[in-house]
Amino acid sequence: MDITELSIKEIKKGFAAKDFSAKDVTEGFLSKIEKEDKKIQAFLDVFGPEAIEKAKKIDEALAQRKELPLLAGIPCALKDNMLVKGHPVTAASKVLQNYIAPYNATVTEKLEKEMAIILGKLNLDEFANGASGEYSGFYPTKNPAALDYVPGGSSSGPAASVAARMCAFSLGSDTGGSIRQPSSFCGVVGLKPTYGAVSRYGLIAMASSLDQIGPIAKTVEDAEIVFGIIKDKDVMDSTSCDPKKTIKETDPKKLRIGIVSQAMGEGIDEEVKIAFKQAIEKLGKENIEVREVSLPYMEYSLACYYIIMTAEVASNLARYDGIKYGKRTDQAKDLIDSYFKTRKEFLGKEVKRRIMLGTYCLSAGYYDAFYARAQKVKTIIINDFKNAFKKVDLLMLPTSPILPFKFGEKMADPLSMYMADLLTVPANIAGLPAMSIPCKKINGLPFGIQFMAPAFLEKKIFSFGKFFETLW
Amino acid sequence: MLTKQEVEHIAKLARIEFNDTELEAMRKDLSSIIGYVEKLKEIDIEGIEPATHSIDLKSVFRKDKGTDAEISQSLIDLAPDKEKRHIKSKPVF
Repeated sequence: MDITELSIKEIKKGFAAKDFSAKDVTEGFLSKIEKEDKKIQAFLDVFGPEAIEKAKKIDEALAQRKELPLLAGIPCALKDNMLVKGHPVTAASKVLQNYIAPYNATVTEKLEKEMAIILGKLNLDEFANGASGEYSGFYPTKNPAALDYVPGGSSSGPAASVAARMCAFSLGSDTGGSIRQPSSFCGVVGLKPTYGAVSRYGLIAMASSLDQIGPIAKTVEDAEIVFGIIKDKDVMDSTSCDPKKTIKETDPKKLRIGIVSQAMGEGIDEEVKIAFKQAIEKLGKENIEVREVSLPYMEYSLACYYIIMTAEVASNLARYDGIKYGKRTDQAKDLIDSYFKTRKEFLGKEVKRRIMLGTYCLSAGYYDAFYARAQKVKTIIINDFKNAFKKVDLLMLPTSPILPFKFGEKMADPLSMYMADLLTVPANIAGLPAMSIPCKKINGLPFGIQFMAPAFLEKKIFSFGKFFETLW
Repeated sequence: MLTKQEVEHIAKLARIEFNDTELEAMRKDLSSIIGYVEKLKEIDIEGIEPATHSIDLKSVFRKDKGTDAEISQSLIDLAPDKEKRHIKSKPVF
């Protein structure tokens, strides 16, 4: 038996039946990291000895037959933009290379309270800016399914580490697809929860009105369990909320599935269209009600996103000036020169591009034409989705318009890289929950389909997702 | 297309130093991306309210009461240059 292939519930059962100890499980994953991560490079930091110590404590508690929390002894890892007290947190940026987290993120607190075992920190595109993992300030993560292909981004490490079975689950963050797109590229399940469902306290901010933390896992059930633990209202994040929206357990076969006509047109690869149509046919055979719905404004989401997101990136990343923390240049003659040179030396190319674009959109004379207009378009897009959900329970669309691509393929043309976000950004603009679930591989490359639900109705996605993943 | 002067102005606002080659590359990239996002001009936004957040959020109020997070020293320790409990920087002039 390969312990690293087990689901959360299977590991728990194994503990109860004494098939293996928590130490066995943690060591199993750590040796997988030792063996696989030299080539995949998903981890930026591994907490080996600390993880084994924690596992031993859980074994002691298990021996005393104590009632343990749901995630006790389950090895996981976090994207390196979430704070774990006493450990480095870099957001994969050189500007934070020497930064040690002075406190825990709320999600870290929740995982520790659950006695989950944090194995380490995972790679990403610098400050979560990217769609391929290539913009990590340190090294690129490889796609475990095909090593010369990108794993997607920005949660490159979180998706690749779960796909390569180097942790039982991981946490990523999703601002415009950063959980779902790499999950699709690596062949794992990834959930972006409703905006506000999970506290962002201790998550290094990228675009605050869009950022959301969520789980990446092997199965829909595992993702559901982890989401149940990390979601909550938090006094440290005023945008977090728990509307306690309860719905009855739904029969997945009775849910009405909407296909977005606009998500089947321009900019979608032929292979993706074919695979998506096959998935629709599969649902037809299961007698699922599938109907086409129109979201006429969805196509404007990407343009809207690249204004709002870059404006917020420009504001949030203004703090990396080398004064209070992080790296500081030693080349400057005075204070203002120290800002210019610190940011030149330690911020990466894509981050600079987005700061520049956001600064332009917010600058005098352009604010109304760009940012103010984008916020109004956002209202229109939100209403578009509200109307669609009057007719269907879930929306189904390909997670990514393209299959995983090779390293370097899209680096020369930033706009072509941005197009990779085409089908994931609408959920962030509208604040809706969306989950990518793996389907059959295309030419050996993973491919995922995403399901979107109305705000705070993640439960509908879990219900249908658990059924959907059995079809493959 | 943006002009070189416009890109220099934005770089100054963003507090990032670029050399001439980088500025030219940035001018090309920004112009192409701005050309794309101008797509939003196709939409009639007359009478539409702007959305700040995607979900209905209520303002959160609490008593303005300080708590000791017990991390002030570790925050100061993270500064690249300091003296006792003060963070040092280059001179303003």
